Amino acid sequence: MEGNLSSLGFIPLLPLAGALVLGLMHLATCRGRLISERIYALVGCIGPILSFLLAVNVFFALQALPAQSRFLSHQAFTWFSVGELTISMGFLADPLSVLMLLFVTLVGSLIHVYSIGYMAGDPAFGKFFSYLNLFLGSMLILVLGDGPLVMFVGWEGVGLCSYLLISYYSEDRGNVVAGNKAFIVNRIGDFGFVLGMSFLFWGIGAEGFDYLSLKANAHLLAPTLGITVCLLLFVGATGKSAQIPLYVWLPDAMAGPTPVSALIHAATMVTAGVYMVARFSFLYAQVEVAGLVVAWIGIMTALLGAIFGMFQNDIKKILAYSTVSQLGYMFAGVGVAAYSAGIFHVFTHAFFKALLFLGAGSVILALHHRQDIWQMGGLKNKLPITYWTMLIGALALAGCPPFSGFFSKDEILYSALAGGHTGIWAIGVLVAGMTAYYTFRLIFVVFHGQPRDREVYDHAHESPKVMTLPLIVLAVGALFAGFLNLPAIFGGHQQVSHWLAPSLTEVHPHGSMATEVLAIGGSVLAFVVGISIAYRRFAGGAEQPVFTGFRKFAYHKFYVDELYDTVLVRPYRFVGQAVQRVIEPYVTDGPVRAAAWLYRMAGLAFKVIQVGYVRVYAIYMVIGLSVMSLVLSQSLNF
Amino acid sequence: MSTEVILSGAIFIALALGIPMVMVLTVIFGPRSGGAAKNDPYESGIKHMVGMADQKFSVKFYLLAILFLIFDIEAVFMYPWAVSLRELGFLGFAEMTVFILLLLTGLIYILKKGVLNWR
Amino acid sequence: MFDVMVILPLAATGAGAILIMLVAAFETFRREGISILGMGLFAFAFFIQLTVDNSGDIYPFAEVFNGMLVANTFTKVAGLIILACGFFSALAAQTYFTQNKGFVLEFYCMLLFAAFGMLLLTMVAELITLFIALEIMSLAVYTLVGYDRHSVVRAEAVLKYLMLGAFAGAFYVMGAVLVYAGTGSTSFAAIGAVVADSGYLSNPALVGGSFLILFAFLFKAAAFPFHAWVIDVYDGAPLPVTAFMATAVKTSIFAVLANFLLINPEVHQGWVTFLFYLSILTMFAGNLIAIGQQNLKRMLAASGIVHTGYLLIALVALGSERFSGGAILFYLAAYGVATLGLFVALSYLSGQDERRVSFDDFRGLAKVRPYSAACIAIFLLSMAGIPPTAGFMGKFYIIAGAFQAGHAVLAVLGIVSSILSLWYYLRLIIVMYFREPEQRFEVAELTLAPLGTIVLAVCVFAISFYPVVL
Repeated sequence: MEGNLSSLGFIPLLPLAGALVLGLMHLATCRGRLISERIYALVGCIGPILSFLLAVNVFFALQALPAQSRFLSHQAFTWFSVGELTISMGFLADPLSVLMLLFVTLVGSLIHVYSIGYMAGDPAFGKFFSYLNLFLGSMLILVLGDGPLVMFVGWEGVGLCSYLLISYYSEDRGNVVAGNKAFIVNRIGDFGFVLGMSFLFWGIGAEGFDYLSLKANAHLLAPTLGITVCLLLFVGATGKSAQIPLYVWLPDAMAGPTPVSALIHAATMVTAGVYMVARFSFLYAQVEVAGLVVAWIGIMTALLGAIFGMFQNDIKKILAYSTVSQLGYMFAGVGVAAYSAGIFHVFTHAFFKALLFLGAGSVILALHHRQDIWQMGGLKNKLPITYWTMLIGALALAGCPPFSGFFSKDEILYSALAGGHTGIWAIGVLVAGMTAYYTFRLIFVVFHGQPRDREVYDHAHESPKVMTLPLIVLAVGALFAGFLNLPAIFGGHQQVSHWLAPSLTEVHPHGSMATEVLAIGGSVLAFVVGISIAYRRFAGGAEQPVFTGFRKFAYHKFYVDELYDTVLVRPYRFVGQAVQRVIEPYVTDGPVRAAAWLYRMAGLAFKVIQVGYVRVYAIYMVIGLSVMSLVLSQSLNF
Repeated sequence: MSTEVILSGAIFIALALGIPMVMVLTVIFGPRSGGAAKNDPYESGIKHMVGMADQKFSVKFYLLAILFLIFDIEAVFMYPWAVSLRELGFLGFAEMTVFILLLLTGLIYILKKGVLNWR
Repeated sequence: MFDVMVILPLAATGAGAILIMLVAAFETFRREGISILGMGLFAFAFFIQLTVDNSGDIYPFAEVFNGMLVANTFTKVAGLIILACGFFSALAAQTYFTQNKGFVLEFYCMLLFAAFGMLLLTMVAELITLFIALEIMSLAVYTLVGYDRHSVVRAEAVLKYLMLGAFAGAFYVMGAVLVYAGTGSTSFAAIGAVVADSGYLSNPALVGGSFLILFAFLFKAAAFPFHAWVIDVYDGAPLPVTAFMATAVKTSIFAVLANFLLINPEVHQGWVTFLFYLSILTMFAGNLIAIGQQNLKRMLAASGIVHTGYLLIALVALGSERFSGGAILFYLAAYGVATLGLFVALSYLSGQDERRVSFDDFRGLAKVRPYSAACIAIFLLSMAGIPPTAGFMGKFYIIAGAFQAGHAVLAVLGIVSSILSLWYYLRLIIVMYFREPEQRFEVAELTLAPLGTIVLAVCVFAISFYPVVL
């Protein structure tokens, strides 16, 4: 039932090769710039675009197969083999991974093109593209890997690239700190992931550690072990996908260049956790408790992200919290076992959130790297393309009916309601209203009303074509992607859900017509209320408010960062210093130093033996020979 | 205790003790006659090799002697080959041809290097 | 026809050597040309060796030339390693002689002759052929060490090597005579048959003879207590020659040693205890010698002793039912790449007349030549056995093999020794990275060695992905 497709290996290989070439080019010329940006840009974009074309090809190859046997795999090489177990660098294309593959390569390619304009004039242009290519390659390994281990390679690869790119402007200490924070928080999550993977291997890994074998053996997993594995894997997901309690790194990650925020911290990498949960749907479907934990943590994160998003002033921070919030939605979706709905939201979110970030990047570039929305205003006329595309993105994010975000969000909320999770649904609707509010707060403040900083306004200009073109393509995606999964009530066939069905273990809840109408009605109502409040407050041109009371508390993100610092970081640092000052010099170092001294003395003694006279050496040999002969005549025991 | 056991023990004891013993014995019993002629290093007819160790002297004689040996051995090697040529057949002939050709290249080399020019 | 096919790489190497000899006599090329020719011939022989299909299993051996030679995957890969070592040594020499005096055109000819002897040595299955191969190799290497007649250091090194080598060679011949006396044959297959027929330990002449033969091999491989020469000789030899000796000679010696021990399981069994203690002593003696050294060449020579110890562990674990030849060759390849890499890097970094060869000379290299320093660090880490380098995988395979063969003590001591070896490997890294530079490390421009260094650094990682069947 499995076919082989060797071109699968090339999909991640092309960007990785691009990264290598770009890196070498950059290293070779870092002392004096000999290579023009055009060449870097060409090399940088060709890998992602070719990968996209290959992905399309894989999609058609898969479509040609009957629905239940849509699995194509390719074993690139044997990675290692220990005893009976052989782990190969294998890639698997099934409906789920191909869907991810398509939008990752498409959005990735567009953002590469966009970066040509955004990063123009950067002194390390080649390095940036090298990192970006490396990221895309790692992401594709993550998506295409045929088992948890290969996925983990990509998982760590994207984490590394995320770190490198957050700290890209490394002259500023704050950016480096943000990068470190992201890396360390992610390590905590990765620890859970590794543990979960180990338990999974311990449980059912012996028969083969790829998804297909694991799926076949999933029923052998003991229930308690199953819960442990699911929760530990989810810990990994909370790190990578910024969920409570590990979400704190994502807003800080906005220190990186805006295309990075769009690609890594909005569209692709942060959705890896959702993808992982969907990948292991065969496990989560077995243990409902784990699913509920995922769903509740997801929806609470959605609420928290939305609250924070309402009170931010930095254009990228607003979008960052909205990402946290939307990721919460996705987890709520996969948590209530609506895996296809969750993945579909990943899919649409990639378009509109990348679009919003790239639009924000265009605004930031136009205003010479100003990010405070209270310095903007009235930019509608100055940046028409940016405005219209961002408006489409905002409508999609806010969940306005025909736009893509509406359908995917509604699908999640409907699944929650139909599955009997009324609480999750209610919070979800509330968050939808808040989302509409903060999204349009951003749009109204930035683009409508009067310019707040006249000088900045006068110098603003629309971005070059290389940047606006990706915006337009993404806007088209944000507008129409929702129709791919049109539910039956609107006369659709839910193509995406059907497409994903072979990869996932899910039961579609059969809600009544009334449930469906209630879900849609709730979403539309929340959108209308949210946008009208935002219109009343900000459309006329409000000034920067002074936050007091709860608003101040929310503006400071409930002081969670400070809390973590006090409760975790400081005690840890204190213990570290205690160890360094007391235990290390007196307890552990003493014996080590003594051993080292002894070793060195023995070495000097041996050096003395090395006299340099050939006759002495010959005597050594003879003595050795004699002693050995004596020993042998004793031990051989004839 | 078979004879093999005793024999093998003897071999190892001989190895273990014999070699050092010979070294010691030569020191003790070796003749130590002195004299001018005895202490004069015999260097194939070259006189007065006393002095600095890195003193320069002509090696032409030695080179010629070594080259003579090589080609001499070559000739000696061909006697048994010639005797059994019929049994060896064509393969044997081919092998000897290769051998002679290799030596020929050697000869060309020493000719070009001017080893045979006694100046 | 198979017979002739198998020795094609040998023939290519030998013919290449003679070609260079004639070219040198007619002085057709100058130094640069003959360097390229030498490297090209090594590469050519390498590809012939690669394409020759001596498609046997690793074990048992396919006999060719009436049992005088054997050919199998083991000998093929050993030959590949030797030729690759030859290629990179030639590359190092090309650069070395741009900034060192005393080049003679015959240098590459001797390099190829030595490689010829080594290739033959990996394939021999007969005691007299073995001696001839051993001597072809040794004579060529003696010449390479001392080709520069005007250098006192080289003369001293070659004298020591020649005298002790001749000493060991005499023991070899004595051993071969005893083996012949005990079995009535010099062919490995016939000796094996005698052992299978009448037992090994009950044949005193055979035991004594194989002991002396082993002694000669252990001398060449620089195992304790026959290691003393190696420090002085490696130090005295020119850098590219040291590189060649440290890698290719060791490869050929261990290949023939494995072949010899596999004459019959009983023969191997008879020497397991002996090799067991020897490997431990060799590892620790090497480590202790290495930490006292100030000179990089001497340190590398001492670390070569340690690596010999590891390879002896692999020999202990060697068994005909579970042939760990793969582990031996993997280790040799990993060690060869790292050692060659270091020597290739040294060949251009050491500067005019090997000025910079001590630890202190490389102070702050990382600040002046970051890429060279990074490559050197990679090679050192590989030698120390830090993952994910080839050196780590090599040690892993050897230690895993020792565990499988039931020598847990040996495995543990191997790990301990690997930790001890960090002392002197990290020392150079610390000197390179954490000291301030005092000089500009000016080197001759436009040479191949920097390129070769990078290629070898990549190989350090590439090889570690190559799977080995234990």
